[in-house]
Amino acid sequence: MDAAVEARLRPEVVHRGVAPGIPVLGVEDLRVWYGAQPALRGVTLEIPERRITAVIGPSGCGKSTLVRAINRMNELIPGVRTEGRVLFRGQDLYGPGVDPVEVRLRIGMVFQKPNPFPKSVYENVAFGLRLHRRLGRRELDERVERALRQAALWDEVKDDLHRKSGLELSGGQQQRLCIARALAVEPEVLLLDEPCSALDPISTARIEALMEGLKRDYTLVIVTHNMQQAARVSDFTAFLLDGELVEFGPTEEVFTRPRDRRTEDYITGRFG
Amino acid sequence: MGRGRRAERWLERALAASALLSVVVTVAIVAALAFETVQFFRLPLDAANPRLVSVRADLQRFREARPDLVGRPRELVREFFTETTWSPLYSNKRFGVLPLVAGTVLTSTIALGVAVPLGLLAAVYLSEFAPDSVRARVKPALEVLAGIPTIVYGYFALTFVTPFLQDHVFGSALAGQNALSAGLVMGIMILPLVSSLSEDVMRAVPLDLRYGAYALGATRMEVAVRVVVPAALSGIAAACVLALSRAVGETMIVALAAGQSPNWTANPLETVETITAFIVQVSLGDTPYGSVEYRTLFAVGMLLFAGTFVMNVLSVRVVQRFRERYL
Repeated sequence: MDAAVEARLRPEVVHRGVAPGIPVLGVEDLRVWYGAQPALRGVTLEIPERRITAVIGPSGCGKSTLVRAINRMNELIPGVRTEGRVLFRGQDLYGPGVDPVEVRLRIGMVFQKPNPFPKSVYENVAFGLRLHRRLGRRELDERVERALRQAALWDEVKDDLHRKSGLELSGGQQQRLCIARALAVEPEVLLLDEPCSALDPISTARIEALMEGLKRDYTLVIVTHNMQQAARVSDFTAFLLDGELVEFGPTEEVFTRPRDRRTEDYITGRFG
Repeated sequence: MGRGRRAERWLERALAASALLSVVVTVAIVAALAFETVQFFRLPLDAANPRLVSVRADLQRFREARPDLVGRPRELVREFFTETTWSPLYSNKRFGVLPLVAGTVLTSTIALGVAVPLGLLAAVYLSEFAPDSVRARVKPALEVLAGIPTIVYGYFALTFVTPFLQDHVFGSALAGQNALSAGLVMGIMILPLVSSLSEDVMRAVPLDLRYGAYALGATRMEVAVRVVVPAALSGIAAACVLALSRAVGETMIVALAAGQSPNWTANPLETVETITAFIVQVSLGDTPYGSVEYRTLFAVGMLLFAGTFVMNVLSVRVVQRFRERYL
């Protein structure tokens, strides 16, 4: 992405002296198969740092496969084969000697269906922290609180942190808990796989507002089947169709002046 | 009313009746057990009744052996629960049941000590690590263990495990019939109960939860230990309680390999008698209905029943406190 073009489009997003549009993730000719069935047929794109990138496309186009390939969650599914490269700050995540556990620690993920652990709110957020570091009680408390505040959930749960199970929260709260849980381990990238598709409009609006705030510190990639959502929240949009990247660019351009006919047909609702 | 509706009503009644039947049978068994148990503790009263004693030789023998108990049922209750000599089949009759309890607890503890750790490890492996092809073969193979007749296990313990342990580990310190061999072999017998049921409940934990943990950078082992096992805890505990009940109620293995002499001991190398082994011992002879020996059967049977019942209730309580609900 041309930095000058980007800055002209959204001058307000320049932050902390980091030049806008620096790619943190580079996907190069990524191909994924489920058994013999191809899901991604050679996708190449660069995801800019501290921006929200939306991945849109009809069901089955490979958008979830794309984000799950980025943090190597795909390989947990039996029969998946992956080719191509995913460069994270220049390092190939599929290169030899790369530990997928380390990858997932630096690239967090939130799922379509909220999946809090059947533990207390506190233990949900502390889960990732306990895995990787030995923290004192006070530091753990602080980090849990910080993550819950970042996910705009703190005020709703602070009185019942230890007593309330994550599963006793409402759907929207559960999803924000899952976001807090992912943020607690301080990843650099957060992947959100249709995070609002199981939520009501009010919860959806809260999560969208939350994402807008998270952009200051994190790179976000959101998969969505909801084009209005992509238009509302994202800075860049990738349109996938049948496992191929049809168009990728600043969201404003993709939605107002699509270069490809198929993009136009999709965003105007002619299919999908 | 249409024919369909009427048929449905009859079907409903038939279902209700069969549900009721199992309740009735259970109640009847408990009632019979309780009735006969009362008969045992009434022995001192019967022995004090001249009309009964004149026609019953066993009551005469009871009077001769234990004149101190005649007419004092409370004394019998006290002796039953607190004394450590059990010899109702001998002329010098003592009714302290604790040696049988000790034998049962000892062999069952050894069995659980084998079955719970090994069974849980096997379940974690099968559920979280084994490829489908391995699981498809190993699980049925493990379950075959549960299908082996217990008499075979008993002989295996008596003729292989005990001689092996005598030759290679304990020497002559190990009695020919001992709690250790019986407990070890019983542990192998109940192992598939623990592993198979635990594996079922662990696999029922939603994949979503595992993915959530993987996405936080958890390893397979961390997912298994910190997510799957806690979420499956109630089922795992149920499997262990079921295994314990099997061990406590197991008869052939302990009768053959642990022995038939009541022994108030905690030493696994010695010969012990379990509650079930005593029941076999008495039932094998031609014990007349209503006799002293006959009545002891029901007293110890009731004890066995009450013990497993209390364990079941307690485990449900404990599990409810610690389990993580994911449904």
